[in-house]
Amino acid sequence: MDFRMKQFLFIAAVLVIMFSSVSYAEEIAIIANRAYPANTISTHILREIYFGEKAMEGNVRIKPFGQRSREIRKKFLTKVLGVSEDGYNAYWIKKVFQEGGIPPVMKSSSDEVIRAVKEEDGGIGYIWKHEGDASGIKVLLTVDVGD
Amino acid sequence: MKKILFNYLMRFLQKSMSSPKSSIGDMLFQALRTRFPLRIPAGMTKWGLLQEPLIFTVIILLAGNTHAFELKGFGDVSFEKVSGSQSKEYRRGSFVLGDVDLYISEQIGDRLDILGEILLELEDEEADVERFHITYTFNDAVKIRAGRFHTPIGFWNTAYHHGAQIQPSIDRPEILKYEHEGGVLPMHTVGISTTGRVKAGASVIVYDLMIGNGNKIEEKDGKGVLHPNVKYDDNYNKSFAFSLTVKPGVVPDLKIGITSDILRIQGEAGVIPTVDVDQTIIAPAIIYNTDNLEIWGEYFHIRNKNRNGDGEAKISNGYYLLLTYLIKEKWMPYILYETRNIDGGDSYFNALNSGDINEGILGLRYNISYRSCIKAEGRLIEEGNDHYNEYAVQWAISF
Repeated sequence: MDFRMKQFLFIAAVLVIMFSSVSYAEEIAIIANRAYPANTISTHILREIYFGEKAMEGNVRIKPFGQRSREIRKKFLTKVLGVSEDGYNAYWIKKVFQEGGIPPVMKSSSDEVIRAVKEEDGGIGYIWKHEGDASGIKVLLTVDVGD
Repeated sequence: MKKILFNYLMRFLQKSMSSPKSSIGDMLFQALRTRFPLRIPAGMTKWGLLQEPLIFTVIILLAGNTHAFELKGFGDVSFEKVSGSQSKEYRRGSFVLGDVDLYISEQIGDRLDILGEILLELEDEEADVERFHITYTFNDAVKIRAGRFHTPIGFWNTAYHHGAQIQPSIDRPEILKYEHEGGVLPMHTVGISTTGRVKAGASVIVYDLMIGNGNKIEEKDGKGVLHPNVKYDDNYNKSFAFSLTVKPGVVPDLKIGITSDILRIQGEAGVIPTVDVDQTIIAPAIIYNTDNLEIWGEYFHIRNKNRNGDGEAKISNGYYLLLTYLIKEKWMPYILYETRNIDGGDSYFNALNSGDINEGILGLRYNISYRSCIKAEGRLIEEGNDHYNEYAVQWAISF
């Protein structure tokens, strides 16, 4: 194999990796504990949960988790919930002051979200789709959040 | 440690409720002396300027380090100027430090939540337990709540209350003023309520049913002031309130509601004139809220039927209309018009020294961030025969 061919294969490999990682990054998976009463979820219900309007699923108290990682958090809020980050934060200040309750508990990584979801029957969270291959959780919904 | 801090809070709230005149420093001081007798000299009874905030800071740091609970709050500072009136407080132009509102909201069990709110009233050097309620969630349609809460009259009272930063305008509408500031409606109640959210097709119905101690009018500095009977009721008649809100599926940006409160209110000895009325408040309300445009309108029909004398019913009312428009999540011009029409022969309003008022407000709000904003507004006010203007600027934050 000559040098030019090696160069071509190297560039091709880099492009494949880049595009595959981009495609990973454009889908968000909504995950839940295996004991969570529902197996699927609509974006409408998801909005109700993350806006604190729906607190129970059957007899289980829902425990939503959020992510501190700015990239996935921003995509989730704007593309799935349809709200800006500031708008969402301002909403929760009002909500907690008016009615009590607590906003979704923030986790610093997808691993932490998966761990927290596994520990709570009502646990529900969001991660990148390619990070959802873990035991003890189920995927309720995947959402394309590409531009 | 969490349990200790929780006990602190409970004791603090209990003391605060039983002695509304005590300062927050005195209460924390007593609590700390009990918990840490060696750290504070036993003979110390007076507080210096530094000691009070220091002890309060220790409590907050203890709470923060152990993640026992997250203390949140609101604060604001304003400048107000009145022109055209020689009798108003702000005629010379004044800086005004608003009350500091501290609150916690915690889930302390799978279905159990608490919310506690303490207002540090700087002018009166009082710590007021604004709210403290325990909520048990059966499901989304039924939640039971017990404690002291904001009376579910109208939307504004439960939506904003002491949170100046989340409130569109600088002040509340006159008809919704707090009891201790000359307010005419019972804004707080101690009792029990059931609340919930029910779906009916694409529509959503939210309800709140409440029973609690009715208010009374107490004499304070020669004036009648509404008091929510925090520790005991002054008569056998309880206050019944309900709130019903519908968000129709066909117009998801719209909220239509009706709230009501039925109670008996008596004046304590010393309140002039004598008051003993059966009060019925009915308040229809409407909110239209898109991403940018917000319209609020609430009307309060107040019927006071005298239990003494002629037994005649007196009708008064008040309403406000608020229009806001948000530009790029930063700038928000707003217009607020409000009016209060009082029946001059109503002993209830006479005891509270309340009369007619009309007010038009033009304002502009700038959101520095989602936690901080600056508001500026001009007001045209007709209060009886007194016509004057007010100008105000406020910087409000949440933390």
